[in-house]
Amino acid sequence: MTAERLKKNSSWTAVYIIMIALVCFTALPLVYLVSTAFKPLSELYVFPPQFFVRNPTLKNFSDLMLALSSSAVPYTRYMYNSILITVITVVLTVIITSLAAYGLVKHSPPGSKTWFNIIVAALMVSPQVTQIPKYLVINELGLVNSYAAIIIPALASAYYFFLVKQFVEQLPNELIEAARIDGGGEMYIFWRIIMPMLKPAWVTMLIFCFVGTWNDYFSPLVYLNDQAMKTLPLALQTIGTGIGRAGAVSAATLLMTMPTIILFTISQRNVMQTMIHSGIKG
Amino acid sequence: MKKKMRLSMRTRDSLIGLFYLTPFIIGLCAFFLYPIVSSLLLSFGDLDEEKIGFAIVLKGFDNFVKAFRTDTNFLPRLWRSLKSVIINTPLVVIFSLILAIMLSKVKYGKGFYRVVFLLPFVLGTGAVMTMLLKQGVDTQIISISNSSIIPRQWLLYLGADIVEILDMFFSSIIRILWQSSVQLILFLSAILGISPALYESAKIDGANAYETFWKITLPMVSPILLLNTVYTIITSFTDINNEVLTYITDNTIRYAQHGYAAAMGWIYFIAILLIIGVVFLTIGSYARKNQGYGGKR
Repeated sequence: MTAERLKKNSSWTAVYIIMIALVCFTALPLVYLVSTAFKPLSELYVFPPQFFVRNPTLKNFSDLMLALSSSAVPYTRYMYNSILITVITVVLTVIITSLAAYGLVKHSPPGSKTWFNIIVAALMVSPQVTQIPKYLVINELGLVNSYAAIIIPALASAYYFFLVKQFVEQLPNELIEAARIDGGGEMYIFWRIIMPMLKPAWVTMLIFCFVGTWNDYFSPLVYLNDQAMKTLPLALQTIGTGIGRAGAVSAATLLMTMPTIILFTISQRNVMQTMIHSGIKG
Repeated sequence: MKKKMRLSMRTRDSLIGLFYLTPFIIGLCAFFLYPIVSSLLLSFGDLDEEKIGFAIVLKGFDNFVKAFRTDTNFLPRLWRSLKSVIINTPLVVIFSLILAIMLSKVKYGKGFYRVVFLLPFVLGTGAVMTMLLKQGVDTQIISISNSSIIPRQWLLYLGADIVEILDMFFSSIIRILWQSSVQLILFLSAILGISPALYESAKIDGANAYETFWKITLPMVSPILLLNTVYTIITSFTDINNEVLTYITDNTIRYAQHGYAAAMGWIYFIAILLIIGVVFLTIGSYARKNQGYGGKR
């Protein structure tokens, strides 16, 4: 008995040691990001780059404040743009994608197989291939230089569809039928039964979509011309063009990643726990 | 109203489904189907430079002949990128599955591990990661031979060969780890969703850990296994830093060879399609076989 327990304990220790080692590796970029944000100018340009900061300073943050207050567009404007675009995109994506996945799987309208195949094909096409025609479509619709140019093309994402569809397939049909027999309307079934049960799927989608939109550099660069409409990743770039502002950039980079990390920290428990208790499986 | 009453249950059901699908389909048509069709046309021609806007002059197979025959840069790039995907994908998927199984068993500090393992994804998609890579996070800082993490005396003691092997080992671990965070989270949520009753009954029947993995865990996570494999392949194919894509983008932007770029894009797309087709045939059929496995849900 004791031998068995000893074996069990030692294997647990091994698991934890491996985990800690992997955690160290994974956390490296973040640690580097944080330590760089506090590096004085003399340490920023050392080659090879040093991992840890020797003489931490807050000067980068005050430099950042200075750079931001001297720019023509107040930085709160960039923040407003980023938050507005991200929130609208995320909310609409979650609703449209969940509705579509539920409609396709549980109502299976004619041609649903074809649509699913097209969506799978859409997964595989890299955005660069369709870039130019896509720009022309957005141009034709008169969306260039508006928030809609970033939001609308992002809404029908094949990857999120695929993700939610895998979860919808596991929902028991009996539950929907029971609700229908009890006289629940279609909208009632979707909002009160399907969405709560799909919570792990759409919370996951919400995180991915938030991260993707928040960090998106390319589409704001291409579709927005007005400086006052640009988002934080682009603003970050403009800060970096000033001389001796490398410190300010590293401080800004750190601040920019904070929302995504906080969001994930808050919601990961939600994702995991609803997964277990939602009755989707088991 | 009368007309609606006459519709059968089945028709009504599919109409509702179609209604739910509509917004997504509109988006798909406008921003995927139309662009992809016009890029297919473009690949058989080039932009008409005399007209303003999007007018295509068809030239037949010129662009494709150029990609396979004339251009000496394209095929080696395509080959290298295919090879790296074929090697990388199983590594990433298997690694993230093993890590997810380990994580699902951990009792203390669950939230901490999950957050840390998803960090590369949170950092990895945007301007931030590009900036970090520019500063050499993956090559110079982590490389042990010139970093400050391990003292120089230790390295001298180990000798150059061992240091080089360790360097390669660590950098590949890091590369795989940074690519597998999304897969890890999806696997983890799938594993945590497996009913504990299944494992208990397997234990009572005397199954060991090895059998439990093959007979319970793997079949139960097989839908996610498919999702993850496809996702891994696609992210590495559509990664901005991918060799082929940078070459295509260069051709579009710098040399304004739109037709040729579209043709290369299509060759690339068909290569991806073939690989994903194989994945669907193997893992997809495995996943379908296991649907409804593990008793009534």
